[in-house]
Amino acid sequence: MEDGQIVELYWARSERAIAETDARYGKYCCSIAYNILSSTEDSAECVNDTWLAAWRSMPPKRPSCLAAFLGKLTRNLALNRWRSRRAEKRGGGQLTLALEELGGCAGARNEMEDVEDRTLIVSVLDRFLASLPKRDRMVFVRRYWYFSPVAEIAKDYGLSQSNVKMILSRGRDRLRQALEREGVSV
Amino acid sequence: MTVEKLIDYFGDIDERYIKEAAPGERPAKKRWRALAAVAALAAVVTACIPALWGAAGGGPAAADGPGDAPGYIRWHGRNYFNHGHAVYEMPEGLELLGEVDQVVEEGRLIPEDAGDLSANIDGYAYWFPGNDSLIVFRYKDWDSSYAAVELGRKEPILLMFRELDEEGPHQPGQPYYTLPDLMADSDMIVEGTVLQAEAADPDGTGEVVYTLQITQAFRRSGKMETVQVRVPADSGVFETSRDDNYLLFLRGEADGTFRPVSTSQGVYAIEGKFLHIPANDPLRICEMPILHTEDNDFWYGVNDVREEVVLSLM
Repeated sequence: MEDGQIVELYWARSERAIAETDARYGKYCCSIAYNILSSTEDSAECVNDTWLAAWRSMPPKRPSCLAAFLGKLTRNLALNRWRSRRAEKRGGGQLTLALEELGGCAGARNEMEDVEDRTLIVSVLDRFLASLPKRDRMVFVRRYWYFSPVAEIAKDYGLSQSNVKMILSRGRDRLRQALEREGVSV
Repeated sequence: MTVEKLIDYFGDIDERYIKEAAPGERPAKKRWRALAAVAALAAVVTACIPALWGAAGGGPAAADGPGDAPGYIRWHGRNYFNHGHAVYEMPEGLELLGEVDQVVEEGRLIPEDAGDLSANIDGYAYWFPGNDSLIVFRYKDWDSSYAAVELGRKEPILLMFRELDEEGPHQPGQPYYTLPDLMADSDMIVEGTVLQAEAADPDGTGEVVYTLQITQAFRRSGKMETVQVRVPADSGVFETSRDDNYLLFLRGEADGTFRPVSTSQGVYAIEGKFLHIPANDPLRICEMPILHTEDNDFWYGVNDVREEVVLSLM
């Protein structure tokens, strides 16, 4: 079933909406959750929460890209669950590694007040991503949006792991510079 | 900003990049399929390879000019149409998108003005980074007469409106704007996302000024990247989500701000002055999520009146 048809099921409040969503995006969302939570059980719960969140948000929302819409829901839910688990001192996984990697984006603090405007920072991120060659951008987003392991990224894109790491390292340097230009310190 | 916040903000990046990098999506490789009796052809941008300016001909017969270029190119799910606008000198700032591939799509309808595609689609597509309203296409074997051809994005816009649950649909005999009226009354028509909001007058005029990032311009935005829109604080405009795109029909004010052209039962925008948008306005066309569908199934309506609307990008 195509995305548009699935969205129509939500709008019609049809019980088939969840089943069709699960059939088309179950593995996709589970993969996102697992990369963050490293637990099959937690990932499954997270995906179920995603379907509930989707049911509650459509209508009024009518996403133009259902994959990205559901992926964002799953990502946010998984991140929240990860934070809760960390408070209980559980878990690890790709997210922990990604945080350590991105910590290197810290730039020298300037004298300007730190800027924490979400819209501004997201626009900086978008411009940064637009400036990357397509392959590098895909690698970067796979790592820091999807939290895919480096080995998986390398395999999917036909690259060596060292090549992927180099692409990520260059990307992080450019991101740090882009944030610094906007007066954002990490 | 903490690293965790950065990870959080990264979650809100452009959905195109999320979709582009989805597991299972791979950088495309060039592929050719045998031609068959088909209803339509579409040219699709694929993997990047270096540009070869003025490469010698060889292989399929060389194309002569803009009319021989692909009728339309499909990129990121959007159609860019060839209206024969030749480019005689490649502009600066272009970035190579990739090599144009030929994909056979049987039974797919093409717009009337797309034209038939040449069997030879051996060229490259370029864009101005950040501006996805235009693609520049160049055949590998074009001579110096034409550098390239522009393909512009032209999509119908799907407009949705909120029906009143309690007050019922629009009542016959009540005045309301049709979309052409809104268009005629607008100084500017843009698509934008909310950057920030602030009270227009801290002492309480009851108005809020929203600053929007212009993502598409359909009329008269010139080189403006942002626009300030003034609305009553209790109007509920932009209340749905800061993340949604809004299609705005705007009238200019002397102070450089804009107000939405609006409609309501019995209330109009008069002489460019915005009056009021009641919270339950059945035609809050100034505040709508925008959909760009692939199947040209576009509509807006009041009481099932349906019109197709096509707004050409500037």
